[in-house]
Amino acid sequence: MSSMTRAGGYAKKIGLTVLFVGLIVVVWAAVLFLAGANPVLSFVYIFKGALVGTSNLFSTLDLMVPMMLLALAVAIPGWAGVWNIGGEGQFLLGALAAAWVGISIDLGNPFLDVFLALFAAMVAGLVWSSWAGYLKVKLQINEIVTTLMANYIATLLVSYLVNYPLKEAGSSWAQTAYIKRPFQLHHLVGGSQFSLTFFISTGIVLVFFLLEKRTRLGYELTMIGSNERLSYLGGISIAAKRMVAMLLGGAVAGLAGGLVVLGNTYRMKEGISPGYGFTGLLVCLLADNDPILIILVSFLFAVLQSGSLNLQLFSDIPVEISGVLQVVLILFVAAFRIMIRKKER
Amino acid sequence: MSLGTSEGIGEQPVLQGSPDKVQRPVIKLHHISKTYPNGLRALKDVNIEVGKGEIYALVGQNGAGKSTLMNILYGLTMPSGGTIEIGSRPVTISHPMQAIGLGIGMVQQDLMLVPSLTVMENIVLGTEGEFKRWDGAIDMVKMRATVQTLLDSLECSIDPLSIVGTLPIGSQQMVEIAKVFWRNASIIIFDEPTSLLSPIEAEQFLQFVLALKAKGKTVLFISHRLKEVFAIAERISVLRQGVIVASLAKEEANAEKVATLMVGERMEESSIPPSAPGAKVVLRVKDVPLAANASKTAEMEIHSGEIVGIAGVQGNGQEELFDMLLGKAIPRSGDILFFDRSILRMSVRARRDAGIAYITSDRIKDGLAVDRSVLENGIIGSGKAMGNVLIRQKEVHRLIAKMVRSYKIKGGENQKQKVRALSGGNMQKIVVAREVMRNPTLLVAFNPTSGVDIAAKKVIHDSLREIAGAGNSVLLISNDLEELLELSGRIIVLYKMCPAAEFKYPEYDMRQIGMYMTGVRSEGLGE
Repeated sequence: MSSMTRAGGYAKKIGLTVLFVGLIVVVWAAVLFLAGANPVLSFVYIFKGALVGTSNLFSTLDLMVPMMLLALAVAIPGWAGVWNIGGEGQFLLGALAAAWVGISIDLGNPFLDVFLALFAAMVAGLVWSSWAGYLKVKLQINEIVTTLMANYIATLLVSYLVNYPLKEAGSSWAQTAYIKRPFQLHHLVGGSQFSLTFFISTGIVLVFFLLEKRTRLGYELTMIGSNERLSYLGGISIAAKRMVAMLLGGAVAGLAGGLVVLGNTYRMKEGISPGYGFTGLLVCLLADNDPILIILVSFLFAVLQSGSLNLQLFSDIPVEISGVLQVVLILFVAAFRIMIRKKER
Repeated sequence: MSLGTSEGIGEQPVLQGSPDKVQRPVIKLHHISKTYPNGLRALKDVNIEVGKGEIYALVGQNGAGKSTLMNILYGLTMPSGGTIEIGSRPVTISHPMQAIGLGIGMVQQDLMLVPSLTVMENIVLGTEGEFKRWDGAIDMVKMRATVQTLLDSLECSIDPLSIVGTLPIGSQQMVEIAKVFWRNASIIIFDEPTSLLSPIEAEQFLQFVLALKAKGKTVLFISHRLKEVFAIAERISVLRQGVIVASLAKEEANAEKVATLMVGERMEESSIPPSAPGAKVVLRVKDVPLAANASKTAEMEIHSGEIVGIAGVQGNGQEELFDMLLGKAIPRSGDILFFDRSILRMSVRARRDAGIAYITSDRIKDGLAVDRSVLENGIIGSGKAMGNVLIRQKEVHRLIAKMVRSYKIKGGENQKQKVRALSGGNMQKIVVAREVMRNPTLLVAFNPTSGVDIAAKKVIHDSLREIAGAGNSVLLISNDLEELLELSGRIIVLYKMCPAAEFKYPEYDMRQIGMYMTGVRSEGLGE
C-alpha cells in the first residue's frame, strides 16, 4: 500500500518537475521576446556561447569557481541555521590578503607560495566572519544585519587600500601591482582563464559534502538547523558549533577571493567582484544548502552568464538579461519547492 | 434550576447522554462528539445548556476535552457530531468570524496581542476601517474616544495610548477582554484566565467576571483551580476523558466532590508493584524554588531503583523542574546534587555524560527533527557511540536496527525514512528508546506516553520499569495520573510551583491526590 502511494508520489514529483522546467523555458522565452529578441535564436546563442568550443566551455567552468565557493560560504552556516550574507566582504578581504602576500612575499617555492597566499586568504575571510559569528552566539545580535553591514565596511576598506597604500605606483587605476610570477596559476586552456582553481574549488565543495554526510560535526551542524531545541537537549553545544560554521563559511569565501586573484586577475583591484557574494547566495538558495546541488546550480548560472555575453555580441540584448533569467529561475524553483513540501505534509 | 445528582458522586457518570435543563438557555450543545483524524477521541456525546447571564464553569484534567469543547463553540474546531444552538437557533460554526457574529467571544489562555502596538490599536485591530476619515486616513482622535468609552464601561483604567508590551500581564488580559467586548460579545469564553495572573490580579479578575454577570453577559469559564471556580460559578460541569461526568449547581457541589470527579476512581490496581528503592541517593533537589513566586522551596530525593512520580495539573512547576534538571534554567538558590555532586554548573552534555537522560514532553517541538531520518533522530545524544570525528556508520546502523527491533518501531525498518512519515506512537518510541538505550543512571521522563496508543504505552512503561529494575532511577513527570499510580513508588504533587504533598506506594488515594492537585487541600508536604 504505502509503496504504491510512494511510487505515485514520485510520478507526481517527476510530472511536476517536467511541468516546471517547461514553464521556466516559456517564461524565459517571453522575457527574451519582450526584450526584442528571437527566443529560439537567443537560446541557441546562449547555449553556443557557454558550451560550444573549448574556450567557451572552459570559461564557463572557470566562472563557477567563485560561485561555488561563495554558495558554500552561505551553505555551511546555513546547515546550523545561521545566515552568512557576508560572503562578498569575506571574498574581498581574502582576495586582498592573497594579493598582499603575492606582492610582498616569496618563499622561493611556487607550491609553498600558492599555499601561503591561499592560507592567508582563508584566514582573512575567517577573521572577517568571526566577529559577526561572535556577536550572534554571544549576544544574539542578528547575523543577517552584521554580515550584510560587514560587506560595506569591507568594500570601502578595500577601496581605500587599493586607492592609496597598496596602489600600483604610476597606475591610473585603483589596483595593486601584479602578484609575483610563482603565485600566478597558469591558464590551462587557451582562450580561457581556466586553471587549477577549478579543481581546488570543486575539491573543497566535495570535502564539505563528505563533512556534512559523514562526520559528527556535519551531523551536529545540520541537526541544529533542523531542530535547535532537540540539539540542545541532545547535548550539542549550539553556540560553539554555530561559531565553527560561521568561521568555516568565512574561510571558504576568503579562499574564493584568493583563487580569483591567483587564477584570474593576478592582482587586487577595485570592483574585482561583480557581486559574487550575491550570486553565491542565490546559488545556495536554489541548491538548498546541498553541496552537490551547488555544483550543478553554479554550472547552470555560469552557463546563463557566459552565454548571455555571447547573446549580447549577436543581438541587441544587453548582458544583464542573464540576471533576469536567473531571477525567473529562482522564483519558479522557490514556488516549486514550497509545492513539493506542502505535498509531503 | 439545574439537574444533577447529589448521590453517587464519584461512582458513575451522572448525566451522560441527557442534557441538563436550564431556563432560557442561550447555548445548547447536544450530543457533541469529536474524534480527531488520528483516531483520538476527544469528546463523547457531550450535552451542555447554559442559561443567559449565567457563569458556567467547565473543569477537568489536562486532556479531558475542555479546550476542544470550547474551540468547537468558537469555530476553531469542527465537531464530528452533534448540534449547536445559540439563542435557540441551530447553527454551524466553522470559523471564529461566525462565532463573533453570533456574539461569542473567547479570551485565549495565551494572549493574542501585538506587543508593540498601543492598547487602542490592539482593540480595534481588524475593524479599524470604522475610523476611516474622508481622506482615507484613520481618525485616531475618534478611535481614542471610542475606545476610552469602552474601557470606561468595563471600569478599566488602562490608558488607550499605552504600549501593550509594557503593561503587566493582568492589564494585557484586560485588553484581550476589551477586544472581545469591542466585537459586542454577549457570551464570553475564558480559557484558563487566571493561569498567567498573580494572586491579586486573579482576585481582581474574578470580581470583574462577577460584574460581567451583573451586566447580563453569559460567561463560560474553564479552570482547574477549584477555589476560583467556587468563588464565581453558578454551575459546574466536570469533564473526564471526553465525557461530562457531572453537572452540578454550586449548592449541590463542594470542592472535594468535584476534585474526586475530575480524577475519577482507579480502574484497577497495578499488577506489578514498583521495585523497592535502594539505599543510594541518586538525585537530590535541595532547597530549590521552582519559580520566583514560589511560596516555598522544593526538596526531593530519588533513590536508586526507584520511580518517583511528579503529579500535578499542567503549569504548576513541572516544566520548571525539568528545565532545571536539564540545565536550561538555573535555580535562584539551593542546589541539585547527582550522587552528591552539584550539577548546576554542568552543561547538558556533561549531565548526559554523567548518566542522566531526558525524555521531553513535546516530541514535535524538541523531541525530534521530523524532517530528518529515523537514524539521525535515533543517534542524537548518543555521545561517543556515534564516533567523535567520523560517524561510525556500521555501529550506528546496528544501534538503530536494535532500537527498531526491540521497540517495534513501525516504519523504522528503513533507517533513512523521515520521522514525519511515522505515526505519533512510533515517533514517541524513538524519543523514549534513544534515551533508555543509553542505559542511564537517572532518566528524567516528562510525559513519556503523551498521545500514544495503548500498545506503545505498554512498551514505554515496560522500559521504564526495566530501568528501575536494573537499579537505576526514573523521575516521571506526567499529566497522566493513571500512569503515575501504576509505575511510581512515590508520588509528589506539585501545586503552584511548590510540592504540595507526597504519597507512598501503596497508600495512593485518588481523592486526596486530586484535592492537592486542584489546591483544595494545601497544607504542604509532610501531612
